[in-house]
Amino acid sequence: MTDVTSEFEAFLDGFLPADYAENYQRYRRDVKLRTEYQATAYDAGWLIPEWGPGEGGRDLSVPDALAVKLAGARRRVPRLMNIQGVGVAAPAIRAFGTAAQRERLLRPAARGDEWWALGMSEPGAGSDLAALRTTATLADGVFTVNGQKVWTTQADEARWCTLYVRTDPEARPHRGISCLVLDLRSPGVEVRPIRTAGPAVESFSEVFLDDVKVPEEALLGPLHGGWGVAMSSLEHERDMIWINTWLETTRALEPTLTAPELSEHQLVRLGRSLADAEGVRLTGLRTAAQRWAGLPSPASSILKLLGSESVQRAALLSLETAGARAFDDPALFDERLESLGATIYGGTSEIQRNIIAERTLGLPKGTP
Amino acid sequence: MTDWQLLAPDEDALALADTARAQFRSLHGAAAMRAALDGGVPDGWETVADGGYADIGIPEDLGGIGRMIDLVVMLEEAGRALLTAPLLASALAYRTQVAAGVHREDFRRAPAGFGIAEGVVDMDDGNGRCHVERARVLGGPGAAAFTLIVKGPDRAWVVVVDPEAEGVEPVGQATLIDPSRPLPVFRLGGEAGVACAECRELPLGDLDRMLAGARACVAADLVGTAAGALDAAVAHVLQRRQFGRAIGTFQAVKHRLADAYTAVEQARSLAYGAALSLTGEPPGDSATRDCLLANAVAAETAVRVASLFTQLMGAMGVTFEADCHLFLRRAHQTACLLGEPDDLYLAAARIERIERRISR
Ligand SMILES: Cc1cc2nc3c(=O)[nH]c(=O)nc-3n(C[C@H](O)[C@H](O)[C@H](O)COP(=O)(O)OP(=O)(O)OC[C@H]3O[C@@H](n4cnc5c(N)ncnc54)[C@H](O)[C@@H]3O)c2cc1C
Repeated sequence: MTDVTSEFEAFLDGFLPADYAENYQRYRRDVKLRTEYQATAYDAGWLIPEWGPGEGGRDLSVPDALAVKLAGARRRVPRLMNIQGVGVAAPAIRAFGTAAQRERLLRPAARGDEWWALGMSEPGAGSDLAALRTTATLADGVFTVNGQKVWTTQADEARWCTLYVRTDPEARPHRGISCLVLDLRSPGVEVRPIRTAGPAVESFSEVFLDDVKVPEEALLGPLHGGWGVAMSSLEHERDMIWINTWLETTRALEPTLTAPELSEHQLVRLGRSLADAEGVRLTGLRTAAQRWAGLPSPASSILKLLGSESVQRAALLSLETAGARAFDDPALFDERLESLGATIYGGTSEIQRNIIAERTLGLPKGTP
Repeated sequence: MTDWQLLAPDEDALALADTARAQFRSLHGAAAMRAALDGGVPDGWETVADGGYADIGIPEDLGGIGRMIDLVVMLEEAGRALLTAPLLASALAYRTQVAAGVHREDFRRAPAGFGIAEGVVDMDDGNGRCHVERARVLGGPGAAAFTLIVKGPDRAWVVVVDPEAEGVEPVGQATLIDPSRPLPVFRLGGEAGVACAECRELPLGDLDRMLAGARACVAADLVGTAAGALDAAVAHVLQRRQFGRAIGTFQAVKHRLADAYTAVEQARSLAYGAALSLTGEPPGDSATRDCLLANAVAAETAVRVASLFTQLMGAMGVTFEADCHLFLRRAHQTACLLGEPDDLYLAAARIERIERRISR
C-alpha cells in the first residue's frame, strides 16, 4: 500500500461508522451518510483526488488517484447520491465552462450540494442521440427551448440539467447540437417521474420543455458544438466507470460467495463470474497504465460492454443460486432488475459492439 | 512504479515481444504445423535456445533473466505465430521445477517434457523411484528430461526423470489433434520404478499452487492463439465481398468479432494479471486463483475465436489449406492440457469462498 492510500484509509476509518463493513447492506440506503460522505470527501480532497485542492482533490498523479479510488471501492465507500453530477456534469463544466459558470456551478456539482440531470435521450432519439429534436432558438441573448427529454435520471430531484438541443436545424445532425445548462426550476419545465419496474436505486423522469427561456450565458461549450461536449464528458465517465461496475459485480456476487452450500455447477458459474470481475478490474488497470505510459489503449473500448454484462451475469447467478430463498429476500430480484438497465444506459451493448467493431477492429462503418 | 502499471508491459517487455514476434514468424508455424500433420517431426529448439528464450522468467539466482511478465508476453507471441518449437513444454517444466524448488540450470540446455499423471513415488531410498502406468508427456520425443506431476491417492510429487533411464517405456500413441506439439504416452515403472533425477513430495492440496506458474504460461500461449485467429478473421472479413460489400460490414459479423475481441482482451488482462500475482513472495492463494481463472478464460477464448474464424471463412474454413483448423487444433489441445475450464473455474470459486470465510 502506498502512503496516499494509507492516508485515505485513515480518512475512511475516521469517517465511516465502526460497523460499516458489517452492516453495509443497511448503510447502502442511508441517505444522510451518503450525502455527508460526498461533502466530507470533497472538503478533504479525496473525492476527485486528481483534481486540485479546493476542487475536491489534492493534485494526485493518475496512478495515485486510481489507487485511492480502488481502495475506496474495496472498502465499498458510500454510493454517491447523484453520480452523474460528479462523474459527467462537473468534468464538462470544468473543461468547457466559462469562468462564471465554473465559479457558480463546479463546486456544488462536485460536492453534491446541487444535483444534476443529463438531458440527452428523447422519445425519438435513444441510441441515435444525434436524432434529437428538442430545439433552442436564440434571440436577444435568450434561448427559447421546446421539446421533450425522457429517461432523465433524477430530473425530479436535480437542480440543473445539461440539456442537449438542436440549435442549427440546417446543419448535419451532429453539427447542429448545443449543450445548455438548464435550471430545472425555470418556468415551462415540467418533470414527470416514470414508474420503474422495481424499486430502482435512482428514479427517472420525462422532462417537457415548453417555451423555456434560457439565458445565452448558459451555453456550455461552443454554439453548435454540443456533440463534442457530450462525447468528451461521457469519455471521462467511461475511463473510470469500470471501478463502479467492478464493485457492483463483486457486490452482486456476495450472496453466492457466502451461500452455505453450492452445487458444482453453481461453483463453476461463480468461477466464471469471478473471471468477469477480474477481467473488468485488470482491463481497467491495464488501459489506465497504458494511457499513463502514453501508449494506445484500444482495450478500453470493451470496458462498458464487459462491465455491464458482468454485473448482469452476477445478479442472475445470485438470484438463481438462491432458488426459493429468493421468495423471502426481495433484494435478489430487485438486483436482477436493476442490473438489466446496465446494458442499456450509457450506450447499449449493441452500440458498444458497433463501436468496438468499427473503431477498434477497423471494420466498415454503417449497419446494413 | 506500482505493480499494476506493469499490466501495460514496459519498454523491456515490449522490446522482447517485438523481437520474439519477428523471430517466431520467421519459423513459419502454420507451414510447420501442416508438415507435422503429414508426419514431419517438429523442430526449432535451436532457434529458441540460441535466442535465450528458455532463460526468460527464470529467477536470476538460477541463471535466468527476466520476469514473469516477460515470459507471458513472449509465450503470447509464440501462440500467435503457431510456433512449433517446444517452448511451451519447456516453460511448463521449468515453472513447475522452480515452484517445487528442483530446478537446475542444466535442465535448460535441452528441450523438456511435461506431464501430469497418476501414480506413486516411492521415497524409501531418499531420491524417489517413480511408478506411473500412463504419463502423457507434452514435448515427449526429443525431450532431455521429463518433469511430471505425479498424483497419488493421498500425496503428490514433482519429479524430474531422464527419458533414457531404465524403466521408461514409450507406449506409443500418436498425437492426433495437434501433432506439432507431440503428447506421447510413456510407462514409468517395472518392478523397481524409475529413479528420479529430482523429486519433491507434496500434500495433494498444494497441486494447484505448484501448477500456478504453468497455468500462466498456458494462458499466455492460448491468448496468443486466440489473438492470431482474431487478426486473421478480421483480415478476411475486410477482404471477402458478398452482396456487393465486404462481409465485415454486416452487423451479425461485426458483433461476433466485437465479442471475440472483448474475450481476447479479457483473457489477456487475466494472463498479465496472473503473471504479476506470481511475483509476490511467496505467491499465495490469490495467485493460485488468478492463474486458474486466466487458464480457464484463455482456454475457452482460444477455442471460441478459432471456431469463429472457421465460421467466417465459409467453406474455405474447413479445408486443409486454410489456417483455421491449425488454430482450432492448437486451441483444443492446449485448452485441456492442465484441466478442463469448468474444473478450473470450480477450483477458483472454492479458493475464493474459503478466503472469504477467513477474512470475515
Ligand atoms: C436506468 C437508465 C437510466 C438512464 N438515464 C438517462 C439519463 O439520465 N439521461 C439520458 O439522456 N438518458 C438516460 N437513459 C436512456 C439511455 O441513454 C437510452 O435508453 C439508451 O441510449 C438507448 O436508447 P433507447 O432506450 O431509446 O433504446 P433504442 O435506441 O430504441 O434501442 C432499443 C434496442 O435496439 C438496439 N439498437 C438500437 N440501435 C441499434 C443499432 N444501430 N445497432 C444494433 N442495435 C441497435 C438497442 O441496442 C436496444 O437493444 C437511461 C436509461 C436507463 C435504462
